[in-house]
Amino acid sequence: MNDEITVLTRRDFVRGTVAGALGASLPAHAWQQKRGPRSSTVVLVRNQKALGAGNEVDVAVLKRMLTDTVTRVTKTNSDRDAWRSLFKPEDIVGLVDTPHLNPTHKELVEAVRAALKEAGIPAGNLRSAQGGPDQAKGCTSLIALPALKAHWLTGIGTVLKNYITYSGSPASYHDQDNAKLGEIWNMPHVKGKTRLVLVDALRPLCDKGPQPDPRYMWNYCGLIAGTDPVAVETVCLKIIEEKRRALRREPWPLSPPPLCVAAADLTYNLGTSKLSEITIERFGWEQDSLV
Amino acid sequence: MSRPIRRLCFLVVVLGAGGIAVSMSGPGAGAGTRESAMHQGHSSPRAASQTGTDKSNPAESSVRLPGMVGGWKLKDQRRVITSKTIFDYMDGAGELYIGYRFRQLEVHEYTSKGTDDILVELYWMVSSDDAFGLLSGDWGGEAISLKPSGAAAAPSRAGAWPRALYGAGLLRVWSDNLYARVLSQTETDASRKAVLEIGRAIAAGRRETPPPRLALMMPGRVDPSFSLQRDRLCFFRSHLVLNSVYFLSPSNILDLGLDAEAALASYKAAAQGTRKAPARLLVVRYPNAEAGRKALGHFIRTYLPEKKAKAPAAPGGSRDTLKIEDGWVGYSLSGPFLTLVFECPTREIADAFLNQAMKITGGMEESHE
Repeated sequence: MNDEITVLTRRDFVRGTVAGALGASLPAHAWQQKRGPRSSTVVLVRNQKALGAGNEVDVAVLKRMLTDTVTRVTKTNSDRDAWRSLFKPEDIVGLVDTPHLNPTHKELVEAVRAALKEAGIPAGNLRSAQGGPDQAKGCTSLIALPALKAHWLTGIGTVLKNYITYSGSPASYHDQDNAKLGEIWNMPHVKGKTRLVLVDALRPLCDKGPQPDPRYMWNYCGLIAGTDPVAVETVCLKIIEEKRRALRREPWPLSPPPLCVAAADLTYNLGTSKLSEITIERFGWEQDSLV
Repeated sequence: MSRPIRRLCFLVVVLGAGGIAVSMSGPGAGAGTRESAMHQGHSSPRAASQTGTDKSNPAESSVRLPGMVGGWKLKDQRRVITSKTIFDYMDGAGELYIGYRFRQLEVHEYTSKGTDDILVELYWMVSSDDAFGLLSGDWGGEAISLKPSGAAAAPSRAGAWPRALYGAGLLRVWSDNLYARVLSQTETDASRKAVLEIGRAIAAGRRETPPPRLALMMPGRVDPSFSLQRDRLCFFRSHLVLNSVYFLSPSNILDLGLDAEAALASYKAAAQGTRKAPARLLVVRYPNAEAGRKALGHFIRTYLPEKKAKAPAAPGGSRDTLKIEDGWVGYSLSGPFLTLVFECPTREIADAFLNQAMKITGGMEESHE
């Protein structure tokens, strides 16, 4: 039985042979290649006033956070320059938020939409692009806008999982096949379109996701962004793991382990999953940043 | 549900202010139940959602939700989610419920001006064991008695596990074949009170069934220094649920499924620090001995390939212990019961776990449970 020869098990994690096992258990791809050292930058912007006592979003604070985030990601000096460095007016820009089960805050989606319009992207060129493959096909560029959450099937269900419906067959990426989530980012109608990964980390969920469980939600009041989806996911993962450790006051590893993150790096070459290759630029509220 | 379960039905007739509510468990039960009787304070029948998914077995509608609780009013509309539509309702989470023997989900909402809604999800399962399993995925939170005020929960071994847990706005309830989640995303004193009142209404008049036999049979102490962490015991049928509490492999290397039942428990040694991993005892009951034998073969080939190399014709070897990377692992097969133990510090301790588990499974086998 072929699957029994290549199947990944707990022992691969203990031995530190996940990389090899992933390589053997996932199909080989043309884009696999040897790599030298890499570097990615992930921007973390936090403001403790982003959420009020009832967890309502302070839109003015959020807009400032958004500006701080995109100007740092793009190394520009103004909101307009930042967005215009990412998108041209003729682009069809798809905003890919998470619509339900700990959804992306609608205030964030609206703030992005407003900022794009102010930067000169015509309103008619802005689309809500969550959905099937045609949504991605209809866009020239995408913004991944997921909310930060742990996921009981994939370990983490944030950046990489956000495009699962672009596959046209989400069920093919459930269960043991979730390690292949990175594959979707390399599909022809998706590949190369994502100009910005912007994670809503205002109120993340560190266990039992995607169903909301307020015991595991907290006001982190952050935005996490970059252009390398795997690096952004890796920073998100670190925050989730550290929050879990803090809650239990002992190691509380994600179960199942987030195979999709390592696979996105090692098999699908989407970016780096090594924290040592990631520079985190922090801005704003520092307390309990967890990373 | 991929494999329909045929069971004897039981019938409970409840007389209440709103009329007669009939609660039955089992396929085809409950003909003639009047939905209009289900809501106290609602004299007209509820308007079910017209999405085409509302094909509820009327028997599942036996919970009497109050029409008003605190400042929250029950919406007339409810949604009924089946195993076919559950991924539309909760993409990425439906696997948890269909990993048990799921029948249907009923969703209700309470609204109140100026504050968050309260969401009520009633997961109707085939058996009490399935509903217990859903609660057992996380024993965290404050144990809540949902008995009417003044009634104390009777202490018993079964009572060692709570039937309702509350934390930060979320109440989770195991009540016979019903698992319920009552959620207020923003917790206030008023929302807590309302959530608990809804919980009491959900549990009212329903049987307090015992936990699954397999869960009850997990030894409390082994070796004798290893003691059961009761709040780390999970009952399940699916490898996805297993992986969410103890990751073995993304593949279903134990051939788990809805016709199997399993309990996984953690055991800590008295002197063990928090950094040391606990030993894990996993007992699976398969539908028959042949299924157990095949599952053990699958497990050995995938998880212990060195064992296969050493003993290629080993299916007859129904018990062994091996040292692997994270400690001693052991297995034993007895009829339909497969026992596995992980992360033991010594071979002797692994053997002690297997011996104790085999006594228990042997007893269950003899009594034809």
